[in-house]
Amino acid sequence: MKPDINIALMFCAQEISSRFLPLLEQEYDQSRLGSWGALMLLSSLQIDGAADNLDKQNKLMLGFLTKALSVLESDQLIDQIKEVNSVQLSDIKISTLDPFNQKLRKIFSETQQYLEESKDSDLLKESWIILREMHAHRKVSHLLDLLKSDS
Amino acid sequence: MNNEIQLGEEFVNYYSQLTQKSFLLKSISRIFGGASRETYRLSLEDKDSIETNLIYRRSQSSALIETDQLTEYSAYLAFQKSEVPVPTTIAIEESSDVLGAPFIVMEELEGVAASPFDQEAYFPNQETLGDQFWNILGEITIKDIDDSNLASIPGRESKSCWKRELDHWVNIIREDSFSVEPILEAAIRELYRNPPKETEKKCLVHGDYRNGNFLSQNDRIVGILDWEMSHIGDPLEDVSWAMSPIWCWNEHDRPSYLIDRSRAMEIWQNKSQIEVDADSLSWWELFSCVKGLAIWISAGDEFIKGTNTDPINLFSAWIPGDIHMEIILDTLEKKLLLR
Repeated sequence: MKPDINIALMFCAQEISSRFLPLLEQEYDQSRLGSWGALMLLSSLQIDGAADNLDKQNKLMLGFLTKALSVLESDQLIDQIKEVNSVQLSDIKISTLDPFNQKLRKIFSETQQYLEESKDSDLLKESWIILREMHAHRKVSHLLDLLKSDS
Repeated sequence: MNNEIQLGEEFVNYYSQLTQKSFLLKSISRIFGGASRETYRLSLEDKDSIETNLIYRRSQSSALIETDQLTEYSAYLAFQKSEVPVPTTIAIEESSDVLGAPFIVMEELEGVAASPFDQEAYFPNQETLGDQFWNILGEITIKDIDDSNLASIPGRESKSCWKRELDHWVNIIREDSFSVEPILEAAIRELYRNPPKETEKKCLVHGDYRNGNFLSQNDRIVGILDWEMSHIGDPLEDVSWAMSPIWCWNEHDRPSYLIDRSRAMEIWQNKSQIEVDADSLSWWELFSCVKGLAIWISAGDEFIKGTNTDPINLFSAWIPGDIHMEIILDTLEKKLLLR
């Protein structure tokens, strides 16, 4: 088995920080290269699950939108949800999952607005649970402390 | 000759003409000074070997948030030798003809600008610095906005402070967004649906008042910096921005990692003599997230397009963007449960 990309990125980030950063004289250059090292480290931690995270987000949104069909009275929204429900993605590359994710996000946002206006508080609350879960799948802010300890 | 040395040499020629005195370039180095400007620290030497240390802030061809140099310079001018410490101003050039980009020049202040994400940055002086930080904000709030130095600061003419600001940042989001963010969209809808009370007193708003944007030396704040987003508006805009959990992510009740929130509010209210309306403050706190996200989205846009690949733009889109999104989640979930 050959080394994975995330492992390569992680070692590259470490080399940047420990080997090349000390060679720079200017404070700005040091800071800039240091940032690249930290961001590369962060990427190395995220890359493995990136496609899976997108896939999970998409499934969460599709599930919610399908459930919302029972209360929606907007033909436009109903048509859009039916359309995304019929989509068969050709593969699970990020470049395939991401545009679909964007499409779902747009419909999700419009559905949430509809629920706010129709005062459907139960489904609205559910929509926020979905958003919380989606955010957890995507966020990197929890790695802030790790970056600080690394630098 | 590398670019920086060339910039330095060109600047020395300009500065020698300006002061009618001959100088030599001793050193030039780029420093961080906000993502919308290229900032350089210059050390010049005259014929008697007397050193002059300057800060030279140039507009970038690709700036995160488009702001003109005059706004920042006007704010510095208005606070020269006042209770609000700022660098001594030397010159402004609004045209690109002189040195290739608009710029301002100031004397360098000695002090340290901390990272806004460093919880221990001000230890053990956080109490003293916190008192100063909130008192200085009070001083900014009570500044006479009819001061002639502030004549060019934008926002004076607007009828509604909150609407002017919200429209402004939402427009930036619409222009620069590269993805759909349902959390952000919900916050924008909430802000338009439930506006705050109009302020009874328009004041000068710094626009980015927080930890990281001031210089300190041990237990003393020696300079309030980065005024490029200043405008005339609602004083709660600065209060809520400085109090935003993003600037104290590991300790939400100690805004800007200085003193606790209730004490901070007490100091600011005493100095400004403004009674805070809790609902309006909540509105401005949510607004801070939308404003922040507009800035982080704009940073990401620059990075994606390749117009400014400074890693700070990637960092901004990833980390602060996530944090502001999470603050909106917390805020709107709470509101929903209370309804």
